[in-house]
Amino acid sequence: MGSGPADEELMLRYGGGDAGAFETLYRRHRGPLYRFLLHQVKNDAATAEELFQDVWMRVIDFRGRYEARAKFSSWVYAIAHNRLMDFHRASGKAKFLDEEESADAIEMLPAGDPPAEIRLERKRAAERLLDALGRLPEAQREAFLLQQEGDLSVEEIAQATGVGRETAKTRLRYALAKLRASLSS
Amino acid sequence: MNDPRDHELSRIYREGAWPEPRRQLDDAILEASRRAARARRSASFVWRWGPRFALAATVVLTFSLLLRMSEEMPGEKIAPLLTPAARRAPPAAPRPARPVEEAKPLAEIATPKSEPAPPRGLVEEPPPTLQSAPAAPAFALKKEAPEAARADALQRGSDIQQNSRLREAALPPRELQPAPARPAPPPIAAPTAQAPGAAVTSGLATSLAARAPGVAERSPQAWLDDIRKLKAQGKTEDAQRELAEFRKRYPDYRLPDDLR
Repeated sequence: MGSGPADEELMLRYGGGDAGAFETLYRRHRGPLYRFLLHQVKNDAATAEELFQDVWMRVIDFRGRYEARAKFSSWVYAIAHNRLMDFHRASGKAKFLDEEESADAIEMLPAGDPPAEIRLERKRAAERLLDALGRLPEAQREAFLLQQEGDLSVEEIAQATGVGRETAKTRLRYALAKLRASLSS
Repeated sequence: MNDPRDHELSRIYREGAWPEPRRQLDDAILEASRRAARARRSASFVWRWGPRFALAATVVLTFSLLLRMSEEMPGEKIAPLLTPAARRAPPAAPRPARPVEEAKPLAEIATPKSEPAPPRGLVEEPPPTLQSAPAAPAFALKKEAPEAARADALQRGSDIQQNSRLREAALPPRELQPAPARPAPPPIAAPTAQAPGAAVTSGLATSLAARAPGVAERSPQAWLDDIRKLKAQGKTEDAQRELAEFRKRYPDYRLPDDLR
């Protein structure tokens, strides 16, 4: 996350009225959080921006009640997760797949380019990865994005998404397996 | 594997598209955060100092209420709070408005109401009350406490000042000239500030002081008693002269039969 004061300290300072602390915090997390949301809404930029703004507004609103009992990023991504759940419920798209569904989803992944080409053309590989990511079950994609963008551990993913550690770990393992398959196929 | 992580996958993921929020979105969020921080600072000021101000205000209010209650309650606690002068002085009653008197000329104001004052101008002759003025209250005060009488005279003078100011606004300047024509003796005028109209005040006070030992001290009845005494002593001429003087002073006074 870079040098300087810890996220938790910055958030506490912002809770005390230090607007500069929030700006530092925002600069650190804006990209990862935005990408997390963008991938979760299938690259719908407008929706991602709306959710992104909502999440930060909630951070601002909760500034006085923040307690540094967990990592700031876990807390922010928990807010983002809840906001996403609300969004999916409202739009009727809430289909967090259970593990059985995710097993089916693996088979639904399309065949990719040859591995040699993937290795040679990293850019194209990345695009395919993102494409595969978009087709992952939402719970798995979320676990993957929380790990990649939020730099959260399995425990922190579990905490942010409100599930048990083993569930979070399973989701993450499935996600990684599918993505690897998409690249190697 | 406690924390499944595929570094190769992570590397490929990061080489992909790297979308970021628009700058306008950044600005909007940061502006909202600054507004909230300002509100927080002002709120924290209120939270920090509000209770202290409230406590201080309560203490001051309580103290002032107690002080007021102790002043209003009769008893020994009052004594140290009041000065001897304040204890002697009666409670100040609100001065009644005197719209009619204020419209009257200077001489009429100085004249007791029981006596009908002749319609004389200020220039023609001194007001009759300055020489006779048998009204009991004023002279009684003077007899008992000359200082108080002088204060009363000064108070009347201030009323006169006020009336003269009103008259200045209502009358042509010519009619206001008599007032300075009356000489202001120095003994009374000296201790008071010579404000406009002070000459009238000091002149009146001097007149009151000058008549104090003589005729002015007598009430009409006392004066008549003196005349009777003169008659009884056989001083008929003196008695006649006094009676004539009395009639001059009190033309409407009904004389007793023995003196007619």
